[in-house]
Amino acid sequence: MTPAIQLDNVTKIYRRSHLGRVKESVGVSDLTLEIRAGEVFGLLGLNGSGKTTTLKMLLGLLRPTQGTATLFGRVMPDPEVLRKIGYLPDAAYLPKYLTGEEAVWFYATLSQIPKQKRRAAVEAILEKVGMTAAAKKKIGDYSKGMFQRISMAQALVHDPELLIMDEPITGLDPLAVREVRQLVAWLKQQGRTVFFSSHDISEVEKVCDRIAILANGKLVALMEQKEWAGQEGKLESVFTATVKRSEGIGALKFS
Amino acid sequence: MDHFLLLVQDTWREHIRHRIYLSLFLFGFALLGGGLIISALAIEERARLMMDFGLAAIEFLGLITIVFVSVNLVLTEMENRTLYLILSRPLPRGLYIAGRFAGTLLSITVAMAAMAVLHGLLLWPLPHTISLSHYLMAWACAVGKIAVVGSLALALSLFSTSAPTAMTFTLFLWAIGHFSEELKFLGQKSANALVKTLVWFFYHVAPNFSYFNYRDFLYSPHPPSGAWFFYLACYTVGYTGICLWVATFLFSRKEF
Repeated sequence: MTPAIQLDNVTKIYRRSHLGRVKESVGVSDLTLEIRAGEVFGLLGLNGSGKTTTLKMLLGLLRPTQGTATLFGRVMPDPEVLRKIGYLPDAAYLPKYLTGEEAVWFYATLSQIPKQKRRAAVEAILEKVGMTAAAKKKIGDYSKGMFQRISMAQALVHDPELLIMDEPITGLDPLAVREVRQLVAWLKQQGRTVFFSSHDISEVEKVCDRIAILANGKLVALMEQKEWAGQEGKLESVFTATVKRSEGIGALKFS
Repeated sequence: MDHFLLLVQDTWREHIRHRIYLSLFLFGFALLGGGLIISALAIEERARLMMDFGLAAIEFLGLITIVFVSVNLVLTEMENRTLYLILSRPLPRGLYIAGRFAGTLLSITVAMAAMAVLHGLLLWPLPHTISLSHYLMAWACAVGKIAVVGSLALALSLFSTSAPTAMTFTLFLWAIGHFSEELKFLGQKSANALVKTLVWFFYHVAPNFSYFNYRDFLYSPHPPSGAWFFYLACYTVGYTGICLWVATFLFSRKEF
């Protein structure tokens, strides 16, 4: 069976030039990963570990410097594959001048939902995320929770086979965190693949089938649920043992 | 086509719901009204002064708006990261550029048309100095100029990725574009090789706005021929097309 996601020796080097001087920094280094279809996979790591870089390469927003990022057997960016992907970013990057309904319609059209099915798809997803009543309000007037719901709606309106989420629970209240968990469980039940990045170990523990830990752009651990299930604190101890802060920050010495 | 029309509609919505855009055109209407006061100073030439001042005001407002809007068109989406959700969809980048640009041009053209209607109402009680077809041609030339400047601003914004720099370059090329023939003359007269090269470069790169000055012929007994208009249309489409192609090329190389 073709894996949903395959990363083969992927390296991303950022080159920034200022006044003729080129500065290089490694985003991801020699990353090889395979995510099976129908799996909930979590990418764990500190800030700057390469999680978002990996996600962006999968979405075609960044090009790997070396190696290949393949989704459903096709090298990214591929328009056919992009139709099958939903993307839920870490913050709601939505156009504030549109109403919730207009925004979901906009993304539904971009996702190539046929015109005759589009209205029904938009209404169904707004209903599913509980935003039917507020759909005619401008996004600029929404609360953070409403933003998150419309963001979910745009990611799911075209019924994607793979959902890529970047830090989906960062900054959310406990109720919203539970809702994201509920969404992941529902997607798994539907047989969809979920790939997300996070640095919240307790949440990852609850929802993932497998996890990978990134540190300074490198894969340092790959674990299956059975390795941490029923062992409180196991994942956290593996995480703290394998990752190190990258920006030259030393450990706190209050103990 | 569905994607293109969607982007045109979305850009149109964005502009008409933007306060800055509306206030700019309210300023335009005020400027046209101000023309009445200025024209009162020249009683004998009142109608002609109102005509020239009004057309210049429409073009000026269109120009200011398109430079500001085109430069920020993609840069703002990059900054707000709304672009992530668009480009993670099956949308060719060239189509994105074309749709956004067409939506911008449409919204500014509509605003310029609204200003032209107001201008017409102000001119109505005065003695008619030119025919309606002449007026429409002068207005269409202003729209052509706006299309060229807008596409140039968009390409420069993707080249420099800094809004102030792109605006400065656009206004510089806009200014140069009004003195193309003088520039050519300067190049021919200069003995300095560097000056000759620079003049040659800017003469060929900057748009030649003297082609769009239909207002110069408004009162002429020999207005430009049909061939002139055809050439102008080709020039506008060609220059705008090249700028949009450059913008697409630069945009497709970008990573986010």
